[in-house]
Amino acid sequence: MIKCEEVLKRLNEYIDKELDETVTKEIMEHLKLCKYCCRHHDFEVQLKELIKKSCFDKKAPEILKNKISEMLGE
Amino acid sequence: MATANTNQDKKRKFEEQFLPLMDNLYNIAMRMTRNSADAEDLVQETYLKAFRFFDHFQEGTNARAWIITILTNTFRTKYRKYQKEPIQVDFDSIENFFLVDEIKPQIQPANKSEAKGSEEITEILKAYVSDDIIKALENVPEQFRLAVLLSDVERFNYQEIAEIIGVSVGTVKSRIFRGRKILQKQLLDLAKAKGIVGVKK
Ligand SMILES: [Zn+2]
Repeated sequence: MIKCEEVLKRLNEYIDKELDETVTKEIMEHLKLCKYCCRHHDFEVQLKELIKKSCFDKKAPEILKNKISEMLGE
Repeated sequence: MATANTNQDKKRKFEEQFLPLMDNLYNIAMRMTRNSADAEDLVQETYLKAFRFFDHFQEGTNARAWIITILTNTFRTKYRKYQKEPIQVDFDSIENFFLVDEIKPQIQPANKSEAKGSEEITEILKAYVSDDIIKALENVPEQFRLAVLLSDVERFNYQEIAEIIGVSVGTVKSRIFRGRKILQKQLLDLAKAKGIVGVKK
C-alpha cells in the first residue's frame, strides 16, 4: 500500500484532480483505511472551500460597472 | 452604415461574453492589489485591453481564462513596482508543515467517539472568519498567491493556470503547493496572535 508520507505529498494534486487514475485510486483506497491521512484530506478540502468563499465575496462596484460601460460606448 | 453595425455587433458580443465576468476579475484584482482603488483601475484597464484585442479572441475558447490572462499580465507590468518586498520564505521549513497537525478545535464534539473527522475539521476552521483568510492570503508572496487564487477561487486546472501565468505545469504545481503551505503558516500565526484556536503546545 502507498505510504502516508507519499499520500500527504500528493494531497494537493489529489484534491485538485490532477493525478492519473491509478494513483488516484491508490490514494482513495488509502484514505478509506487511514484516519491520519483522511483528517489531512478533509482539512485541505474544507480549507479550499473556505478560501473560495472568503475570496469571492464582493460584487464589482456599480461605479466601476458604469465606468466600463461608458468606456466601451466611446 | 455597415461599419457602424459591425462595431455595434462587436461591442454587443464583447459585453455578452465578458461583462458577466466582472465580479471574478474584481475579486482577483482585490486580492492581488490589496486595495479597492487599484483593483478598480486594474479591472478597468483589463477591460480596455480586452476590448482592444477582442479580434484576437478565438470564439468558443475559454473567455474567463482569456480575460484573466490579460488581468494577470496587466497586474504584473503595472503594479509590480508598487508591491512590497515579498516576505522571505524558508521553503525547507514549510515542506512538512501541516496546519491541521498544529491546532485542535476549541469546542470538543460532545461525543468524541461518534464525532466524524470532517466535523472536527469544520469546528477547527470555524475559528477563522473571511477576513482572517483574506489577511493570511494577502501575506502570501504574489506569485504563490496568484496560483492559489486561480486554483481555489477560479477552479482552473494546472494546465490552464500554466497558460494564464505563462509558466510550466511543474512550476504551477510547486507554486500551489508552496502557496498553500505559506497560507497555512500565516493562519497558524494568526491563530496564535488572536488566540482563536487551541494551538498545540
Ligand atoms: Zn495514511
